[in-house]
Amino acid sequence: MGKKTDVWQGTLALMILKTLESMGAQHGYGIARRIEQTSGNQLLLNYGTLYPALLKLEQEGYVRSEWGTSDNNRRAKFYQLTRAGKKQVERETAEWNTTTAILARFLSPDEV
Amino acid sequence: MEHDDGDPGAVPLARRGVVVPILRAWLRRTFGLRPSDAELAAELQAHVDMHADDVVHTGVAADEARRRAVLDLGGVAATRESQRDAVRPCLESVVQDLRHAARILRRSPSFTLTAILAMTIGIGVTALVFSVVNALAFRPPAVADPAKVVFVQVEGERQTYPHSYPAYRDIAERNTVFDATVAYGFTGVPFETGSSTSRAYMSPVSGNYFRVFGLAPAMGRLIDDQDDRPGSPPVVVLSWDSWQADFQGQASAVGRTVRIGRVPHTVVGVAPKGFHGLEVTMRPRFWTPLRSYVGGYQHRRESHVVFVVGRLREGVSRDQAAANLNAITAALGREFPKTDAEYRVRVTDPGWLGDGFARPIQAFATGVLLLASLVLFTACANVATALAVHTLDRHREIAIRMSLGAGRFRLVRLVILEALILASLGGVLAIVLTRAGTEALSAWWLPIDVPTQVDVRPDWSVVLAAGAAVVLAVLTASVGPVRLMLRLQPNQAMKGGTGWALAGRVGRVRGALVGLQVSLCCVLVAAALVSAVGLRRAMHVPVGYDGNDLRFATLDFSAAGYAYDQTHRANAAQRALQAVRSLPGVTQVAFSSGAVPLGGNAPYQKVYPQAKLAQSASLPMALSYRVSEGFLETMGIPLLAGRTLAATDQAGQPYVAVVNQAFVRQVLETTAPIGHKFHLNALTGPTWEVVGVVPVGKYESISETPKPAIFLPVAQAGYDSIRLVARVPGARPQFLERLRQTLSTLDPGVPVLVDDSESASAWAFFPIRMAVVVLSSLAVVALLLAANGLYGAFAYVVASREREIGLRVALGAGSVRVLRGILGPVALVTAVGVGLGVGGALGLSQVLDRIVPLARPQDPIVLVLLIAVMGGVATLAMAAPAFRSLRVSPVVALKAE
Repeated sequence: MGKKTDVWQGTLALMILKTLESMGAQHGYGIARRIEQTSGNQLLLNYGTLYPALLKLEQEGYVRSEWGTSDNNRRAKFYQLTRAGKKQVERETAEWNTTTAILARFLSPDEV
Repeated sequence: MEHDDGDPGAVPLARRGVVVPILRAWLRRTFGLRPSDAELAAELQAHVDMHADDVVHTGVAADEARRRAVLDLGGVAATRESQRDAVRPCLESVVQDLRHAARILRRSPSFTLTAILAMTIGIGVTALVFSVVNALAFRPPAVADPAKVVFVQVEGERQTYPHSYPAYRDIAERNTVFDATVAYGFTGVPFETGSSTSRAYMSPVSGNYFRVFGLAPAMGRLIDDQDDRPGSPPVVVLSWDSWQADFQGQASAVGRTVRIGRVPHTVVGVAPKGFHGLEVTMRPRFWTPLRSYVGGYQHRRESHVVFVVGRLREGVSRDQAAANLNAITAALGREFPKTDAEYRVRVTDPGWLGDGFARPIQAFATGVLLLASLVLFTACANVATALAVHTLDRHREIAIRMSLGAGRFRLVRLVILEALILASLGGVLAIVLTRAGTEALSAWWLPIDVPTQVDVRPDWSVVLAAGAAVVLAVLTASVGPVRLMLRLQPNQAMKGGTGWALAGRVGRVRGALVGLQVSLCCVLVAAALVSAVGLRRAMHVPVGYDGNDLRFATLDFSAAGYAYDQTHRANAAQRALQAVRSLPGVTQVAFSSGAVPLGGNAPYQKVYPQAKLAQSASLPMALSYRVSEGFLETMGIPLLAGRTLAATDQAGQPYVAVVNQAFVRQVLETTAPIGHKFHLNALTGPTWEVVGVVPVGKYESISETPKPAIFLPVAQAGYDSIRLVARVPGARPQFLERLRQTLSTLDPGVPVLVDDSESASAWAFFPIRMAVVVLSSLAVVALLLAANGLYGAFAYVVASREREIGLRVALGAGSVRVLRGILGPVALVTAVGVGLGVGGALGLSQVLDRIVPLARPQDPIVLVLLIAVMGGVATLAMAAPAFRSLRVSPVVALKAE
């Protein structure tokens, strides 16, 4: 129940999509570890947050899933980007860059 | 699972935009395209396993690794539940939750019932009051393009002063601002349908009346210009209500002959349903052409008989209209200085015969509306308290559900659904209540002879708005506690003691809500008390005459078809006097022409005091009563100076007047009034000499300020209708009927009306009676709600502290101590609430003043009663729970956990 999830909800989808883009097909656990690692372990991602997000992405048609076998020989569900998902990564990345660029201007000290 | 989106052959996604995927996601979610529970479980299991694998790699035993993995990751069940929530078909789970909520409500029927009742009352009363206010004050008349219809109000102190017929003709012909100018009257007549005779109120109307107002007949035809020409056969148009009541709605009614004031009229048609004339309350039973009514007054500029309404020309403002009309009346004043001097008009809304009536009524209505909204707030606070307590009571259940993996969203939604079920039940009942209430009010007649009825229609937008307010209150009240609970640790909550972790916080909120109810209720009770005290005072206000043992009879010479001249009337009056004098029990009898104080409308007349003719100050007005000799004595009006009116004050003799003290002070401005002379209405008129002085009485309403009034000998001032007044000490109820019969036999053609002193002055007391009824019912409702709230809060405190009480009793605390500990906080809340309420009532004293002028909240008697009532109700509400607290057995209480 607690409030372990420190991932800002809106950004999680993009993180997942970007992870899948760079790693290819991956299971939920792998995605979680990867996101935690990439964040320098500053993000904690419990599965109560991750799986609903994955399911939502799947329902929106950005990822698709199929059962496969993991490195450790465990059966796991593997997620990968659909074509729409790839487009979505581009779109969201662009939007995110714009947003951060704007924010950066607000936050940085005046240069001019 | 479907994931054909990415299939190479599919339509390029980019073109589908964002809408399609979102729509598809929604469809899938709503209709259940989702992985099975088993699949979800398997996926989560895999996640845990993989996490455990990693932990094992760090050198931990496998079992311990699994345990840690689960701890790290959070409960599997809860996650599954939240995942399910994210994807469960909404319809399915909502239905499930609805059923669950209904079950919970059924399980606590008393809570459910009180909450629904509070909501019903809150919404219903507000909607009802607003509907009445809307009908009284703000609804335009049921005519075509009502915004352009304006009332031409005669300026002056007199509230409903009609125009003379010639003046109406002049205004109609000369004005350039109206498309059409309509005149109508309102009068009571004997009405014979052939099968029954009754007294009816009718409205004689100019021939353009129905055409200008764009009305179509329900049957037959309406009155037209042809009917209003001299020599046209007399016709009558029935109102829909009269057609139903007098003719049972038969089509054969049209063409029938009825007798109005003894004159046969042909029924030519029926007015449309729902049209009751222009006035909000006065409903004519039928309409006749104006010409026959005006009859003898056709050329008399001094007889003010018609009301005038105009339809504004396109693009003409009210100010322009008023300017144009006043130019005309000013010209009339120059042309006819004897009758039309100082003739000024104002352009106002139709509906109340001018704003003299409309403004106080609107002030009253707005004040009541304000108080009714307090009832709504009280109800909201009431329901909110009950729901908050109800939800808190379930903290253990909620804790269990949470620990079993219930999602937060589901829990909150469940509580919201519960609240919504309550609100919708309350709403449905409120609609029923509003419908029934408006129907009852529409059928209700005011306690006076004139047919006054208000067409009250339920205002559904208000029902909606009030309902929304209640729903909002309910939602805040139920979601707040749940959110508090969600922050709790489930295991703690289940242990039981948690009530306390919450009670501190929620207790404050609940205390505030109960205090709010008490203070709102206090304001309403104060209003009711003010009106009741006001009514009591009004009953005992000195009215300037001795009303006990007085009986009145009216001989209505003005009924259509009777053109009695002055001699006829004088003779008829004398015959009536003699007949009544010989009746057993009558000690004194006299009459007035037209009105008596507090009964009927006496005319205002302009006064020109001779001593002040040189001054050009604006002319004072005085109420004038034309009375027979012995009238002042019969009414019991004492003489202060000079002499009273005598039988010798006849037409040929010097004109004399008895005046009241207000006339002496305000008009003559002298200390020695006897012998002063003045003219009435016009300088050319006769000179009246003051011969006597009487004290100031009440003439038009109980709450009026002292008004100048004069009493003139009827023989010198002229006869109108005759209003007999007889003093009959200890008269039996049968006397009135005897009086009516005696007078009816004198001249069967003259309708006779009889009434006792109380009904004669009913209209004067009506506003304050009305205020008492309205405010008391609001106050009773508020009291019930507040008592309910207090009881609920107190019962909850006792129930939740049962263990503590048991412990105290076990440790030897006496009942006084126990009670003090428990009553203390509630009593404090009540006291603070009453304090705030008294403050609020004092703050509202301006509003109340407009409704009930004779009492104020700051009157000590009101304050004392207020505190007594509130204290009594609070005591009653607390009695049962207090009694219960004393009977808490220490054993039972200690065993409870």
